Amino acid sequence: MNKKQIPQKITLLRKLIKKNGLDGFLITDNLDQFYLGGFYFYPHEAVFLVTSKDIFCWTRELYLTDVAVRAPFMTAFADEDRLNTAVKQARKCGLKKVGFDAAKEGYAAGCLLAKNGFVECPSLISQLREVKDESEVKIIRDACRIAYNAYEYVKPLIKTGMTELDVAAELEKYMRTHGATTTSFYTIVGFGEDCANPHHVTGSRKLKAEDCILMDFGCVYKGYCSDITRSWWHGKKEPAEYKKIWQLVDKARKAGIKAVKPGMATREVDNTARNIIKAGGYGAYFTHGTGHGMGMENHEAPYNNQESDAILTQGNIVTVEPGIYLPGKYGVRLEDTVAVSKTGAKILTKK
Amino acid sequence: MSVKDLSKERVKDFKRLLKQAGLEAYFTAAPVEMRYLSGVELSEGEAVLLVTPRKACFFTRTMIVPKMAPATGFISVKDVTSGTLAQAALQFVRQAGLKTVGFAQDKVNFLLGRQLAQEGFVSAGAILDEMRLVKYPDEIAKLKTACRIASEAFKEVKPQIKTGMTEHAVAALLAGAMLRRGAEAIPFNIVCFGENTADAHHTASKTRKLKKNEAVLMDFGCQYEGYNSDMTRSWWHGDNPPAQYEQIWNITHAAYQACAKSLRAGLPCREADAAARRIIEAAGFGKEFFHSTGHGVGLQVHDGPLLGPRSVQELEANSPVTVEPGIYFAGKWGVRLEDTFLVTAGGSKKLTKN
Repeated sequence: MNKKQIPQKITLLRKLIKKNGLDGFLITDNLDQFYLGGFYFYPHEAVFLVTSKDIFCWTRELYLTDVAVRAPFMTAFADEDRLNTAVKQARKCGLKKVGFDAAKEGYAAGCLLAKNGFVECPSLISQLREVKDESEVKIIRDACRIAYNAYEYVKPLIKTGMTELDVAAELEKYMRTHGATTTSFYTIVGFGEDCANPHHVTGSRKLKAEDCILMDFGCVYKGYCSDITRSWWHGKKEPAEYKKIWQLVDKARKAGIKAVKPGMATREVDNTARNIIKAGGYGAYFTHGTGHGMGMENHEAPYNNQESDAILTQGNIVTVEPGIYLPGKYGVRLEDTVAVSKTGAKILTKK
Repeated sequence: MSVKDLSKERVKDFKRLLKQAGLEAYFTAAPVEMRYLSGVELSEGEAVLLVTPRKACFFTRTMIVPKMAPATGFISVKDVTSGTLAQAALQFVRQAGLKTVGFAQDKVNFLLGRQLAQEGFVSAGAILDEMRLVKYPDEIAKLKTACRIASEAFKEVKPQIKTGMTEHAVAALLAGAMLRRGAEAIPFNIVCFGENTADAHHTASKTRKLKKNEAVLMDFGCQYEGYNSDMTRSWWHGDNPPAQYEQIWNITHAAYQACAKSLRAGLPCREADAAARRIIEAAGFGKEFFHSTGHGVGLQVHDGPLLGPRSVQELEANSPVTVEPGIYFAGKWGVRLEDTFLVTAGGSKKLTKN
């Protein structure tokens, strides 16, 4: 293989640059940089400039050797005044219309760029990131498998008297020993009334003999996230109401997943799940959207909610996670991460 | 074991700072700033905070309102049901007739910044960044715990590191040991063997196994109640370290000690950097030490101040910083030694002890 082969993602970006009437694009967001170059910088450590001919990278000296090995298609320089250097380079290349991401660029930096003739643009790379290629779907499937297997592993270990933190530690330990580099967000483990708070912070509450459990967690694997939620009753005396809302949420989850397919409006996915919960009489207790897109970030476009105008396309990865929360009592949320394939949703959070 | 949060004090002190700076209000949407002032952990886009010399108010969504509980009593909450959060804050500013509203230009994105500038908001400089440099007692307690967790976990894991283990297996062991001790997150966990120790930001490999005689480098830390620790250990695995490795280790260690010893309130940060750099340069390895000597730690792993050759800040008492000189030979091995210190009036205190 030619070492200097240009990655497909850069080729797609170049097409998008052209389509937007630009002759270059500046990238300062570190996740966007990871997406394009496969190299993880911390924030503010690098600036990329992609033109029809070149891919420039200005970064800290300590990365140069590594960038040369892992991203040989970039021309990398050590530079501590990266933004100004990029401006100068654009001029030197005779570029007339270089875009920058107005939603991700800082205000001070954006002003400097705008003053130097760069033009503000929508998040071109976010647009690319919404549609995952095969290798990305495969990684996310692995990330989801690790999370699902952690659930299967941990569930039988959960005993009365354990704290929420104890359970979270077991989940995270399993995910890390199976390849996760970190969690995709703070692991949520809730018992009893804590399950009724969708933003519960895992604490030292102990599990009672008869209690409900909610676990919402995920991991990062090779830079990509997974997200899964499971809820169930711990004990033998499951209250009738708990059973009822569990089944309602499960029905909403299944219908929501079934609604996911190319061409479907994300708002409709939300409607499908929401209408089932509304019809069951718990509409007021489903206080959030049905799901969100996922990739290198745990929450990214497209969103399965009422505010979104997105239409699903093949390659999107979204969660479906309806819930019902009865304050002070208990709550149920059931969530799977799914890939939008040609034929419909493929559940990724499974064995 | 949770530490009593002093956010309320911080808001009070920040209001005084605003008054001194002649600002009628301060606007922020940055999670790190909101966490600092409220004790509430928020994600990007979940809230906007407006502080005036008299009051503080969150603008947020219905679903986020319950999260604001830790700030009850000193920050009010407005539930915004239509329009953006920034629009709601702007409307509040207009209605209250506030004239000079400041914001940090590097903490908002270009779109939002332009909207604020059009509204007449002004640059507040680094008013909050500077305030965040010197830590309150609750922050120091959290930092100390984060540092203790990291050092104790390392002490537990080091004897378990055996020939044949992968970098990833060691990273997992260490992560488990930190989590069990109460860490809530592990923002970075670098484990390198052999030639990988020369790569300053290596990702632990699932296939690279530890050989009988080679260099090991671990750079790690954890987050406890929002605050981070940072430490690095380098050593030779096996009985026969090459003479050059020992030489380099000793030079790095001398540099580390010189910098650590130099730390005190009032010292220019570039002097702290020079204390370490001077020694490595004198030994002829200046080129192989291609990063700064250290950085502040706090709510962010890399916080202010920077301890580098071009730094313009001075060290302040009760400000935590790392000291981490290193020497690297690409393709061969590298050494970095790092601890987190708390700067005091007359010196410093090491927080990552083992």
